[in-house]
Amino acid sequence: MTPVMPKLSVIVIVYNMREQAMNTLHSLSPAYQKNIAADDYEVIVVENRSAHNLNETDIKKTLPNARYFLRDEQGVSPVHAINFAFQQCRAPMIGLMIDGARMLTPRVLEYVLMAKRIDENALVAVPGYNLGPVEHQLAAEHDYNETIEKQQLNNIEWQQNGYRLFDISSLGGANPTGVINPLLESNCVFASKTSFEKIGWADTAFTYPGGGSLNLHMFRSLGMLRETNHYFILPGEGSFHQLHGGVTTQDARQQSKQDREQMLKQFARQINKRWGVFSVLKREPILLGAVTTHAQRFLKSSSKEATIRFSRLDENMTAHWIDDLTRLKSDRQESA
Amino acid sequence: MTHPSTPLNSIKISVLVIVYKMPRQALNTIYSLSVHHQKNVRESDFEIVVVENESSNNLDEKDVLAIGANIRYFRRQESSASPCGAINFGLEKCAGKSIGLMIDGARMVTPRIIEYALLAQHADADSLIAVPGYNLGPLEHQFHLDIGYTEEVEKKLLEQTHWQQNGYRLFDIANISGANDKGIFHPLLECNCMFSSAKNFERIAGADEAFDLPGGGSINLHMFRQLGMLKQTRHYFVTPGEGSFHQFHGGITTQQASDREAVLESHRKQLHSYWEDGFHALRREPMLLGAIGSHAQKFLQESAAMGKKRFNWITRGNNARHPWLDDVALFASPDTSI
Repeated sequence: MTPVMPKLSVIVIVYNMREQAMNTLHSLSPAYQKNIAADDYEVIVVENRSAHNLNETDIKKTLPNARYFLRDEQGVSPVHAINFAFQQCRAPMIGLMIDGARMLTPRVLEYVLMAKRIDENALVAVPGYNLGPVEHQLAAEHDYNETIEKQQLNNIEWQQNGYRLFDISSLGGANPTGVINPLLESNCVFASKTSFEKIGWADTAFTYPGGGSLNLHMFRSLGMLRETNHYFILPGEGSFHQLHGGVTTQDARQQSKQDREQMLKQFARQINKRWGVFSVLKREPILLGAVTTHAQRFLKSSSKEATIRFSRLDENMTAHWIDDLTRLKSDRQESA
Repeated sequence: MTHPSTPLNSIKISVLVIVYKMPRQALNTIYSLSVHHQKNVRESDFEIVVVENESSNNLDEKDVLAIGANIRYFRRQESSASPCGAINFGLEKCAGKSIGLMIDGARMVTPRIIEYALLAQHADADSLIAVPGYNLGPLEHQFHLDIGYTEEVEKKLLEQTHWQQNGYRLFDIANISGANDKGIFHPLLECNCMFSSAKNFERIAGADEAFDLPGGGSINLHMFRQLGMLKQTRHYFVTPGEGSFHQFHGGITTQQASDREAVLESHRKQLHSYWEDGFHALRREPMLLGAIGSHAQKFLQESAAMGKKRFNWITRGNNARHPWLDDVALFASPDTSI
């Protein structure tokens, strides 16, 4: 069999979340993703060994175009797993999903290929949502747990129509004021292999649990590259976080509030040291893709929130998308 | 009449603007299409083809060509009251791989329509792109007498917005057009600024000159649906942050006249006779393309609210059906999702 060169490689990093990761992988499968052929992409699943590993046979059954790697990791950060995964990618465009617990809607990959046809160095961000009514560190306070989540997922029969995930979800912490305002990060982000190389892949200095602010750092680094001329957001698609014991999303009761704050402070210190002061990506997004009935309420609230932000900035005579200007300036400096 | 600095074979997009008896409005339109106003495109990427049917009040060629180096102007004699002949004449002249058809030269556009038409062309050479329509002023233009809206009032409004500096301010002085009065998530009846491949315009054989009623009757609705129903038109985009804005002038369906209903009825009859199951707005799922600035947000919110209503109404109850029936009719496995 001659291996077909894929157009797109999607990296999924997994650690200790068997059930959630299998949902994620199903949501990436050719049976679920629309208007894309299995040969068009590959999914690179990299798992750091734990007590609950995935079963390779199960993966292949769901995802014939997956390549699975189980590795031993001494540290608590996914950074080495990510860099290992980058080495496995064969396609010129790469999607990074740092948290294997995030399920996708059915047209993410179609739109990414569309964006790639428009600009091979496009940056594509899929907005983040949480399954359930609140951010997952607050789940227990709201009596939301894995059993309820499983029940709701069953009820909506998401495998038949992935857009129903919107019906049981809330906006994620990376984009709490919607998909038109600046994003803090994206847990499902696509860029060219060249762009990932330009930002130095995943910076191995991010050694905190879960990588600390690694994903934020990578998102902004990609967004500020001069190569990523087109920055797309998919307003009708989403990546949906399933409840599991993630580093920043686990139940706050299992972690003392103080410990969590302490940890987040450490994360912030590290990333601010890199950027002076770290900021969300203030680039104007180009929306791409259909918006189904299920996502309309989020589009409407996003538009309202954007209007509030625009008005505030107008009052202060501040540019709406300052990073677009900064990028242009550095372009001029570089070409001067 | 072609400017020597623009080699025809490098042109990616031709915008065809049909003009009749509206020189002031048409100059605004042409300026809004020029690189002085359009962002992130080069003058050599596209051309503006202006075709005017001669009247008692014509454009001055010098004024038109002074706007940009990528403009061609043709004035022609026309005995019919329909623009179909002018459209077909213009389509012949267009050198671009894609063509943007603006049947009514009185429609100004926002600054990124050419850029997005180019993006869509990269995504799919045969895609169809619809730029939603708006009317300048507080109401649809056929009601102008009721509210004392005149060309003078509109001129003042335009001056106050300084639209040449920021074309998105047109949203601030406009209302949503009858072609898409329920917003962009409802099927569009027509589009007065639509882009498709030159090949697709060939496939529908240009403008059917049997539409010989004044203003072409429903020719624009007919062509929009024809383009949308081509098998080759796999991707249908709508630009939610851009618009084409109708300026007040004595257009056939946009002026207030007592016989308007009778005129429209004759248009309807002609149109329905062409479509076996009757004519429909284009029931295809639109893919959004483009940024949405602060000025267009209120229209997006209305669209989302009205879209939600339509979906609720159409997908529930005994008569529940697919919201995008034309996708279903066209493709064995439609790209859409519900």
